[in-house]
Amino acid sequence: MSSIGGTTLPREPDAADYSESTFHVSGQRRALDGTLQTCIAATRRRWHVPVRGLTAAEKDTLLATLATPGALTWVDPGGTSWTVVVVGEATASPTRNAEGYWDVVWDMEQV
Amino acid sequence: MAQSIAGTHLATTWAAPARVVAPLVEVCWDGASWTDETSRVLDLHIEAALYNPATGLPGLGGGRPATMTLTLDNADDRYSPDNASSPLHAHIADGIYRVPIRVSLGYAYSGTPERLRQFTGYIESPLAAMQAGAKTVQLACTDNALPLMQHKHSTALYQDQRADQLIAALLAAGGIGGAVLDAGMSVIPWAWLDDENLWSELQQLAQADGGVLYFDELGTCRYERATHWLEGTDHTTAQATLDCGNAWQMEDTLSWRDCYTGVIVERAPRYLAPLTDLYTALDVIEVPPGGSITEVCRLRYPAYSVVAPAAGTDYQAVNAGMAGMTSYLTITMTPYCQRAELTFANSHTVQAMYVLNFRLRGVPLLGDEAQEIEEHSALGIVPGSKIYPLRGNPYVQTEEQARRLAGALRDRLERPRRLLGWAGPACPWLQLGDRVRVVNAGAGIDAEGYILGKSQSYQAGDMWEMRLVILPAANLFPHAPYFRLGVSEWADPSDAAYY
Repeated sequence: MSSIGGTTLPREPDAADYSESTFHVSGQRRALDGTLQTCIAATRRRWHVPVRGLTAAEKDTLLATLATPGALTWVDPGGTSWTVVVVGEATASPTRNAEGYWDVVWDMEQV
Repeated sequence: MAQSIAGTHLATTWAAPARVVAPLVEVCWDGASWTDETSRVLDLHIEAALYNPATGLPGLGGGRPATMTLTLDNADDRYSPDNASSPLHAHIADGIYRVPIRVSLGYAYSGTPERLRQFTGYIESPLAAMQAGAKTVQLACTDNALPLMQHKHSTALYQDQRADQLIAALLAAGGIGGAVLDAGMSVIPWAWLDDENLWSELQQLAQADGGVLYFDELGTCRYERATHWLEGTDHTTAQATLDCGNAWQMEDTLSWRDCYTGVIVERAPRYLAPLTDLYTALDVIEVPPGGSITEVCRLRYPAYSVVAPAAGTDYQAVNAGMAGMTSYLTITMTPYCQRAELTFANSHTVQAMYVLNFRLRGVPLLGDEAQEIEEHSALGIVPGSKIYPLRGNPYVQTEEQARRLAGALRDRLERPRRLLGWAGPACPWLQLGDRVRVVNAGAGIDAEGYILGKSQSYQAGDMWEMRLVILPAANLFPHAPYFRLGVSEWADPSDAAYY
């Protein structure tokens, strides 16, 4: 079961919208002959995590966890553990066609 | 000289258009072991140069240690002296000053970091900064010259020493070991220090011999004599080719400021004079019963020798009633060239002693009238007269020194010198003085030269950039090939010899 900051997610991330990606922490410049020069510091991962159909209490607990300053431990659906930080906003919105339920969506980057 | 890359793939990884940078920043907080602080480093910038734009080419090699600025993340107050919970608190509670630091940078090959040292020195001053969302500490660092920069030292008189021998002695006095020193090209008849700054005296010795002195990336002090760039593979063979494929910026400037019609070098000869008073005490020296005092006597002249003070000739030791107390007085003298430290000990347990009319005699070393050597260029490139004067270096004393310096400076300054600039991905093995080849086909440049200045910057998410200032080798040593003692041969050994 996936978890963030020690809090098990009430539901697994929505498979239709969940994504993870890799990116290089790098700089690039064009040399005088046009060659693209690249210096890579590291390779890291990003996640887009939507969790849908939460009760109000579950939503509040999850938002509080995501608001924790500093790094968190993310256990992904595959069971792998990562050290991450929440990037940007963690948003909660009412679930469509399910009154009283909430969707929470957030993005994370590997530290 | 370029750092060795034997056993690494750095030549390959540097030449590749995409490369993984491998940094390592270590600090010796406790004076014994190195702590890896790399994960907190936000950016760094290193500067090293033999060339100071303020003094120009005449001042090549003079005076500037390498420096580094380093920004560290301090969100948890790890580097804050007031944070008693910091694991470093015991070492930084009184501030961060003269803490050893070393930085290695390179590239990874198949996931394995391959690094070379890029800076060795000390943290000189921290600057803590805080803004919304960020707490950082910026460290200003200086290379291993830092301990010498305010170290005052006095010596006895050195006679007939080469520059490298004097440099070795001063480095030893400053606690610096492991120096790599070329043999000096002249013998300096007289040399001494009188409470003078070790770093500035080392620079003057190097200049007097026509060489350069600096601390390299590994923290080793190097003295390279005037002919150093004619010797050694790193200065006769290009260590890297810098071209439009690995440069994002190239510059080409012509320095007319450093072009002269002639050079004047002043020398300051000295001579030994007859025995004379070197010091006379202005006051009576009072020595308590059973006690001792120490006097530091600044001598009137530098001294070739100091006569041990003799009772009756150089002083009278008496009590309050003017009765003699010579037998109770012991004088211990530590002579330096321009001062002497004397300890007066009174073994009488009851009576105070008064040392009257105390003086020190000795053979002084006096300065003769300064002489000048002039060398003028026959090239006629600069109209009129524009003379570069080299004056005020006390280690330029002989005609041979002055004439050699004047000739070398004339050769260096008689033409306007181009300075080539290159900026591109950092080449980790290059060091100051290394020979490199610069190719810019579009501008018609294909020249080999020597690295005078090197700066590098790095932060994650940006390039590890190196900027080089290069002095083209053309016409720098215009009389090549040179005959090298111990290396060159007068003739092919198979040739017939005629007697």
